[in-house]
Amino acid sequence: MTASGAVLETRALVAGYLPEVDILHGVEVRVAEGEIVTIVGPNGAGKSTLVRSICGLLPPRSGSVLYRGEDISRAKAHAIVRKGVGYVPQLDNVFVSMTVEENLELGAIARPGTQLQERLEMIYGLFPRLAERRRQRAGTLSGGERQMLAMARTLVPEPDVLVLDEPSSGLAPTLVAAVFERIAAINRTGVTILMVEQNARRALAMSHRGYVLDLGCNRFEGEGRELLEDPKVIELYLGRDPRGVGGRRAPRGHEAGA
Amino acid sequence: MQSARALGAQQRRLREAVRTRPALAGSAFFLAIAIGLLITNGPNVFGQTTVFGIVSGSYFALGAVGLTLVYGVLRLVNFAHGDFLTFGAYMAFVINVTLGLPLIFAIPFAIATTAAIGVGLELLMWRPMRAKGAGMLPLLLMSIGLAFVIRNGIQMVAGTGQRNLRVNLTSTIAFVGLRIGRTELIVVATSVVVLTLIGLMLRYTSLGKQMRALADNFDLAEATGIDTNRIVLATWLLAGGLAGLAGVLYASAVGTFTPDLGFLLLLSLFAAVVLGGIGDAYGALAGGFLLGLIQEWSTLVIDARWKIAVGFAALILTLVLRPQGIFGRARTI
Repeated sequence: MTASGAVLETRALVAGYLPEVDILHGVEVRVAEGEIVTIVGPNGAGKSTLVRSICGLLPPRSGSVLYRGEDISRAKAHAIVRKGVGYVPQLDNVFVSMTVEENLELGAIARPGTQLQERLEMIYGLFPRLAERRRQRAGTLSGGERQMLAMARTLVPEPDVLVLDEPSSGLAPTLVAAVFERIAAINRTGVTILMVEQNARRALAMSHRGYVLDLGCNRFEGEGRELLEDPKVIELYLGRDPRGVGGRRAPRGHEAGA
Repeated sequence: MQSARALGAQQRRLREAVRTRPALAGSAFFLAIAIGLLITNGPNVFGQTTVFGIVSGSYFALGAVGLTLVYGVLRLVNFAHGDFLTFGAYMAFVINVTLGLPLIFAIPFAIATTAAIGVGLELLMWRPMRAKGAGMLPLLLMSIGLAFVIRNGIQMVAGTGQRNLRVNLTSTIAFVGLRIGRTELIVVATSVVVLTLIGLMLRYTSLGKQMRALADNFDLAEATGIDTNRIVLATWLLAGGLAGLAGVLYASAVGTFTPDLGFLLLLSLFAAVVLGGIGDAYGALAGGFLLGLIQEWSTLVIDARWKIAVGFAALILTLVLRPQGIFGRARTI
């Protein structure tokens, strides 16, 4: 895979939390302008570690993270956000003691000179539920509403890339569909998306490309559909289609309607 | 039987009210005590004691707000905070007595130098420790050690003897039969103005919102694009400045002070912080005044020697009944 034209790219990324224990062993991921790229893999594959390293919350031990060709692997998290890479953590991703509107206002700090009122109107258009709750403390929101607020806050400074860590985690199945729809809608406005997902089938179905990560190493990569239909990927990582009777058959048709 | 059941129902309702409306229930309880004391002691004595309570409450509140801000933002229990107050008082002494300038010049000097100490220590100690990912215990021990270093440093330079600022402690102002010292009035007014400004700053300005964001979720604040190191620096600047001001105001209101000023006051500051809910700046503000009133009002009932113990009894009672403080909301959802 060539490096040219990538918005966001990791090269031989090695990272971990405990001394001497690496979780990522040279991961290579590449996201091109306008793409939705999903990283899937079993628990402990290092998916969250990867996005935390990309976003500056966990400095890599070696290798590099490139944003439009510039090495950002030593930059602080807030500086990376200010460059245009927004990050939505998996858990604890809203300021619970602050109101919905205050949460959104904080998003504007990443881009000085943001026309806050204009941005808020646009965001409330995209997430009408948040407009209804603008004066409410974020801690009183439901799980789905929090996920929306976290995404909305990250969109306030108009990022070029949105990095999402398990956006569907802990949500009811009906909400999962709504969240994925919102992600697709955000992508259509020109925002490049890199996400990590536990809900692999659904996420790959809506992605341009995907990576399968296991034990901190790249295992497979390809177009979203291609991965979904790859017998090896299905056998090792996707498991039985929970809705299919016959189990391991390629889920063509099932996911297309989702 | 009937009345016993009615009483039971009433008790249940009361308990329910305490659970759902803690601030209201607390205020009602507090008001009931105030009215009881007013009736038993008469308006003059009660009013005078209340004035004293507000005076001590005003420097408790100033000290407690800084202490709670640092805890809220950094999860650091700063045992050296009391000695920041001492430092402020001695810095004011340098200008006010050594150089013989009026107090109005001494106050900004005390604020600026103590704020500088706060910022300097952040850069020298706390930031490097944070970068290393130090846990709570080492930081706690460092702050206790720092408290001794500052206090002994002051003792080394200024001696252990009692000092006085050059303030007018005799002239008083009478107001509807109550007397308040002119200096005390200035202390209360300064503190109320400064605390109001801090409250507005936290609520409405971008800096205040960013500080609250850090207190809410430090990592998320960084991931949102907030330069957390910058906001932490601002927090120390503010906490140090407030401590310096509290130190001067204490020294002015009380008249005399020693290098033990802050050390003796520290536990009261913690009490005010806990009364209002740890990490909650508005709570600490209210907790400071509340503690001042509780301590002074207790002198109407028992000997003034025990007023500090009464303050802490109130603290323990609060912790047993409402661990999150009188105004605190449960932090976990």
